[in-house]
Amino acid sequence: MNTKEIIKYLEDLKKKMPDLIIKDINVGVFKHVYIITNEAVSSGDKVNDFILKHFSGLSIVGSTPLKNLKRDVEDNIPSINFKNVSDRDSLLELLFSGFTIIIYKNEVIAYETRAELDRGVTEPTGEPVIRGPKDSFTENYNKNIGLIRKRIKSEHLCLEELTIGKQTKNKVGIMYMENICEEDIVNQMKDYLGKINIDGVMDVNNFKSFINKENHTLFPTLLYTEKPDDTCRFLLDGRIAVTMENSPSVLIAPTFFVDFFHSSEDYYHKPFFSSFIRLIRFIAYFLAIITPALFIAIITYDQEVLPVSLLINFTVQRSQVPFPAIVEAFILMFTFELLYEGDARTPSTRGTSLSILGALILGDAAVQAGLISPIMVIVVAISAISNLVFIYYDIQGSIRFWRYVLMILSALFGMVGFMCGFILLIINLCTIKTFGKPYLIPLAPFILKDQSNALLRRDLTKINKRPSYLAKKNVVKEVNVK
Amino acid sequence: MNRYKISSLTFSLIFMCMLNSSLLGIIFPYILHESKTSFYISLGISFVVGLFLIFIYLRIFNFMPDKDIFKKIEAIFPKWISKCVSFILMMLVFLLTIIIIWRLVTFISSEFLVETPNLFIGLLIAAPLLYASTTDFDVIGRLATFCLAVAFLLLVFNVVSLFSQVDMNNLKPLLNFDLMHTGKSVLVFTFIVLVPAFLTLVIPKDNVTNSNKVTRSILSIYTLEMISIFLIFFIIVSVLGINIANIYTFPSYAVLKTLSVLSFIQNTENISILVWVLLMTFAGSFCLLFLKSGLKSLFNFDKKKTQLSSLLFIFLPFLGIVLFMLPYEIYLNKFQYVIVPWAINVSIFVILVLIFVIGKIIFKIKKITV
Amino acid sequence: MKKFLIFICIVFMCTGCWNYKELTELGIISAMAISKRDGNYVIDMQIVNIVEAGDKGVPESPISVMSGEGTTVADAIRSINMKTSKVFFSSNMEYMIIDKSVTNENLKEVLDFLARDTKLSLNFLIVTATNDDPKDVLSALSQFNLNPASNVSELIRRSEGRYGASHSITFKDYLREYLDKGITPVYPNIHLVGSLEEAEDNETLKESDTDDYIEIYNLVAFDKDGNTINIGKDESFGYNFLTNHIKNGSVTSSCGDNHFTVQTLKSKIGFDELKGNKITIKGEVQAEVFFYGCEESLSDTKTLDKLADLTKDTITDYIKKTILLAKESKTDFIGIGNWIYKNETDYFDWDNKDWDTEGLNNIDFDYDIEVSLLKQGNLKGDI
Repeated sequence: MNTKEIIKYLEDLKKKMPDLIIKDINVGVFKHVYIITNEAVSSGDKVNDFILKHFSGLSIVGSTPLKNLKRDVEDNIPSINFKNVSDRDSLLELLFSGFTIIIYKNEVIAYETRAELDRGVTEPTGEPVIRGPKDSFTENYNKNIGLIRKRIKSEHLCLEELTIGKQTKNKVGIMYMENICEEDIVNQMKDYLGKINIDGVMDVNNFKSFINKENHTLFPTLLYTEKPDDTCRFLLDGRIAVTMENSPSVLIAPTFFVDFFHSSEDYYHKPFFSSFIRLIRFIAYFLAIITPALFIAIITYDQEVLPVSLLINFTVQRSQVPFPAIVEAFILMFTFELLYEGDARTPSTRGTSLSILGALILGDAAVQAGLISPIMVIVVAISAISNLVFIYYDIQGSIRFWRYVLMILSALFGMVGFMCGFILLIINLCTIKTFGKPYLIPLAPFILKDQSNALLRRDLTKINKRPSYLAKKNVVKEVNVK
Repeated sequence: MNRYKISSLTFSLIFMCMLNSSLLGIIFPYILHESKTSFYISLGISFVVGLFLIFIYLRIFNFMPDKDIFKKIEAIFPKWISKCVSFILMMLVFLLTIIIIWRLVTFISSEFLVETPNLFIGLLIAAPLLYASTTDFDVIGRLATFCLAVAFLLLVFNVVSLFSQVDMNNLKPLLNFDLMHTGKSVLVFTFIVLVPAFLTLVIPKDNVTNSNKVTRSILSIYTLEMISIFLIFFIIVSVLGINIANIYTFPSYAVLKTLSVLSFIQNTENISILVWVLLMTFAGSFCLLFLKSGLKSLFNFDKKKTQLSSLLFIFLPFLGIVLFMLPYEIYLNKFQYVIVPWAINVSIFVILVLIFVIGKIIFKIKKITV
Repeated sequence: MKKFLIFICIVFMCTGCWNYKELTELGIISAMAISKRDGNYVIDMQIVNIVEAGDKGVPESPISVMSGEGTTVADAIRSINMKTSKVFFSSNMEYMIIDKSVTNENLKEVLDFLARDTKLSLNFLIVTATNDDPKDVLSALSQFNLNPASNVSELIRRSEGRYGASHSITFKDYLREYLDKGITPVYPNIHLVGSLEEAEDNETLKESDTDDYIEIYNLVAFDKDGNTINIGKDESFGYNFLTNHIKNGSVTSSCGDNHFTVQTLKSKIGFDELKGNKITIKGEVQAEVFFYGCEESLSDTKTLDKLADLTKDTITDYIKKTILLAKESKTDFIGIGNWIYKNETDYFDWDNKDWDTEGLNNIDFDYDIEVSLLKQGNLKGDI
């Protein structure tokens, strides 16, 4: 590469990019070393301390001329990371990644002086923790990998890197345990990511639209997590983790239906308690979907299920409301959706007025105005509270959609419509396949051996095998319990 | 189409779900009418005869393990005859599907949605059926697991709550059977219950992992199913009494009307009976998948869309015509809704046995000549 | 495929719902009465009155009673439809009064109508009211329960457990006994005490010295022509013992001039075997001493045996009276014929002959009942 051409190009670039610094140092007669850096992404201290100090120390008179830049830099400037640059594209890429470019006599090397532009390791904001480690991933790629590596100190933890995004050129890392994970999954993930051809990705969650596209479903097939201890648990099970620069979450693949009912805290409590909590989550999921539909079917088509006193009570309440039951349910559910969305986006300074307004609508005032009946408020509230058990946002999409479908079908056909809607939901769940494995495993292709960690949790000393549907290579854990 | 793999446990669960396909409204009233309080004798003899039929089924299943039933027909017969045989088999299964769905729709329209026209109930049932028929057999396997889990829970709940109302005196007089009635009920029961399960021959043996366990699991599933059918019969006769059970069209629904737990769970028959809706919808979707495989091998449809649209255009109008022209039960001959499925099932069984026998003969001839 | 499913969904939206019933349209029937007058069926219905929550201070009657007439049962019900805007909802019906006038050959039509209804449950009680007009019985209110129908049904069910001389029969058992050979069903008889004007007035309920207006009288059976067979108190006890419906019945016997009462804990009496024309009635009864007024001291074990013997005689006496009543009225309401049909079918020609008139009188009975007194309550002797 011609030094003069590059310098001329960079001088042109400087007109639209004032944060580009081009420094010219004399090291000998008519010999110039050019130091180029972008002051926004590189750390000025490092540039000053190491590079400029060294080159400024090489005075014009009385020193040996610089024969080989690379050798000189290698011997004299302490650094772990420097790269050879061979073309203009990689030069620009490295420049914007925080590297300092040193040019001398057609030879170009890049030296790492990255600035710390992230917020440090803090507590997880989206997944609150009661017991267990409280660190979370940050936007720094190396720190994320570091948080994982310090927990799995094994030589089998592999990392494969890709670059995705034409303009953003983000580094993407795929981590997996090579002695546990199947190669098919890794190859398939590399296939998916290799086919991505877009301008830029901002976060690792953008990949969800590209992976597992062939399933027509609302159920989430990928899990994202902010916590390193969860990630390491998944890696040891035989899954892969996809991490990306500038993204504080990590994608886990493949994920199954039962994983959305687990949380890492289950392993930090006693097994009986954890099984109980998991069962409650499972029941809450189905309560959230079926409660309004079941209620509408019972009070409009199959009223004989209710005892007489309850029937009379409901009739008195519903006689004050002018709408049919389905319309009332829709009004309330829609109000609740508005409340929920508002709550998610509101800063804490405005939270109080939102809760007061919400209480007005969903409370006594609306009942006394004659718009809704108290029993419908309770039914919708039960459904909404069960919805809130799942902090994972993606699974709420499935709950919300199927809730409305079941409500419509049960308003049209009663209990039979409710049953048909439920069958449709189950068939939809059964058709999903992630990375070649069925979504409902180990529940639906019923594997008896894996039930110890599916819905209930057995004692950790008794689980000595990894899930057999994931870790075919290395099923027995290396557990030594006396 | 043949790229899926199912385990032997899933295969036997599909088998068990198909055994339940014709129980509601066809078997229960007929057996109670014929053998009255000696139903246990008919059930015992049917169990033994059924074992013999299952033995034949397992022989057909193990013969040419890498081919499903349509490919077996293609391999045995010359080209045009094989197409005829496949076509006849498909027509019989189509009629069986129509009968199962018709029975389900008449059940719903006589007990639940009495004022809704049958056509809309048919469309409502058709929605999950058609959705399930766009998928493959492994999805059906997972659906079978779910159906059986729900059915088991509801069966346990119903049996336990109705047990307090069992009156053993209703089962007497114990031995009022004669040979003709018992023989009729044995024949009808065996063929109507077992032959829909033989339609699982459409899954070739090589697609089943652990195929050495298939025999054991099918026999144990069959025993389990016969025990639960016996339990249901026992509950119906001992709670209601044989005379009341004979006047109802759907005695298994009527017995649930007497369920009363803790004096506030009453009249839950509309919720408990939905398990039959689930099982019969499952049977319908399995038969539709059977037809889909048949269409693929008969006409060499490769594209998914052509298969589906041809299935749709045949199934839906026929269902509509049947529901429109036969809205209520026809009692021309008192139990015509039992004789017709029985005839269809016997023909299917005879065709399957003929295929097996002719196949064996041809293979022996080929071995001798080669 | 997706478009087709969406099309189906849109079709559903345009169709409207045929079976949709709002809660406010329902007329909840809590009790019903069927009788036949002048060749027409008369149906009286007790419908729950949902008080609109507008005026809270007005004590309205919780029920309203409507009547209809017609040539068939279905016509009678449809004629009530012309008087009210509600759709009748019969799944939570508590009891039904079958009047004497219907218990002859018309009973078959009535039962056919009731069994054919898809929404009717099989758990409601069948009662009869021989001394009163069924409509009057239905119009009476109760001070113990806002829903008078549930008051009556609970009264019948509880007294069966406590008193021992009454019997509750659900529709399922009633139909089964009607269809079975060799048995006629038995009804509890309810009775309106006091006058109707006071019974249906809400104001009288506010006074504390009103009696509860509906009372259980005794058991009743009807023979084929519709004549009443009044089963008295002793015979009702015998009936309940023979059919094992006794739960906590109290049996009072006399020891000389005084009396004592035992309460049965567990009783199992039944027909044992048929030899020639003789049936043995065998069983055992376990009881506890409930009230003791005799002179002998209870600390002596011989007294307990003597008391057990006296109770046994009383129970055997009750049973004998019941069987005598059945034979005299030529109606087998106990179920002897049914037992013979189920266990010894060949004894009688069921298809050609009539059991009540030809078979019942030939049977004789042997008695072999054992009574044991297990508990004495709190005291170890007597005061």
